[in-house]
Order: sequence, then structure tokens, then C-alpha cells
Amino acid sequence: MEALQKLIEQLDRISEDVNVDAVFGKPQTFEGHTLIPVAEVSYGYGMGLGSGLGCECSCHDEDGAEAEACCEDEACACGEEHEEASAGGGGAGAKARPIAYIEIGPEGVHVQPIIDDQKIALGGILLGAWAVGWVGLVLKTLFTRRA
Amino acid sequence: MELPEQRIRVVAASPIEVGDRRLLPSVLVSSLRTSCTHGGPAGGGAAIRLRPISVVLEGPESAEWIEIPNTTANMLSQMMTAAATITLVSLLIIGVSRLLRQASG
Repeated sequence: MEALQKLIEQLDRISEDVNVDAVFGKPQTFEGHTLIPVAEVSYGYGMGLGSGLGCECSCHDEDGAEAEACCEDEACACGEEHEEASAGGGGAGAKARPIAYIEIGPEGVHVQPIIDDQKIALGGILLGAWAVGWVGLVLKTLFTRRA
Repeated sequence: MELPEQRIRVVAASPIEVGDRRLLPSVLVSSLRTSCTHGGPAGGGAAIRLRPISVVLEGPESAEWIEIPNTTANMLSQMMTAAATITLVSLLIIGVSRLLRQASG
């Protein structure tokens, strides 16, 4: 558990010193205009570790070295302790999504937004379905009253 | 189990030099962390989000503040507001309709 604690502290330190420069890309010059890409960056990680008594006893028969299989909550036939087992796992992920670019030219500096059409379309469809559902419910209520 | 710790801060990124202009970007850093290491199973995790806020443009004679809008997020937020408004208005109409029906017997 101490090792995990140290690992979490290390990762916490990394998250404290996040590289905010990752948000702004390297300037690219093209035909007298300089473009700087701007992105929204998000990342995360998670991990877990557990330990407990294993499902096998360390009993050995007289001839071989095979372990006796039994359940964790059952006592070992030979009176020995269950073997302790531990396991852990973790994962991490990162995502960068462009949201705009800064255009620097002779006529000035402009920020051009980058719109995620797929998200907007999906949001529009969901909003439409939501509106149709509620309007239908209202009409049903009103017609029921008149009848 | 410790409560998740959330931090939000604004951090200045490294200046970007373009010709005689200098850009000073600023970034909103929001982080959420949680960990549990007190006996038994242990675990932890964190999520960090970096969002650009603005750029201060320093020229030879003047400085200009330029906001960086997140247009997609703003449009989705407007859609959420519209959905909430539709829900509230519909509930209001349904409620008034039922009250009128009860009042008329």
C-alpha cells in the first residue's frame, strides 16, 4: 500500500505541474499569415490495488507438490494459512480537441472558432426530440381536457 | 474514503513570439482528484482539464486582450437552456390545465 501511496503522490505532483503550453500549438506561418492552433486538453488516470487471502491452500500431499484447492472461507485441511494474494490495475487517457486558431496577419489578430459539427448536430437532434415529446404531452393534456 | 479534491486556477502559459508581437496566453486549469489508501483495497485517480481563456497581445505600442471562445460548448449550453425552458413551460401549461380542470369540476 505504501508503494501505491507514493505512486499517487507522484502522479499528484505531475498533475500540479501540468504543461499548460500543450493548449497552444506551435505557430505556423503561411503566405504572410501566422496561425496558432488552440486546443482544449483533458486527461485523467485511475488505479486500484487490493489484497486478500487466495483460494488455494499451500498444503502439499506426500508425493507431489500440488496445492489443495478449496474456497477462501474454508479452512485448509492441513491447518496452514491460505496464501495471500494481491492484484492491481490502472489506466490513463488523454484527449485534445481543437477549439480555435489565432490568425495573425498584416490586418491584425483574429480568433477563429472551430465548431464541432458532429456534437452540434447530435445536440440539435436530441433537442428536437425533447421538444417534440414535450409538445406532444402538452397537446395530449389539452385535448383530454376538452374531451 | 477521502472526498474528491477540486482545484481551479488560471495559469499563464509561455509567451509566444510572432514577429514584433508577443502573445501572453492564459489557461484555466481545473482538476479533480481522489484517493483512498486507508487499509483494505486502495485506489486513486485524477482528471485534469486545460481550457484556454484568453490571449494578451503585446504590440510595439499597445496591448490588446483577446478572448478565446469555446463556440461548441456555448452552443451546446444554449441548447441545454432551450431544453430546460421547454420543459418548464410545458410543465407550467400542464399544471395550469389540470388546475383549471379541477376548478371546473
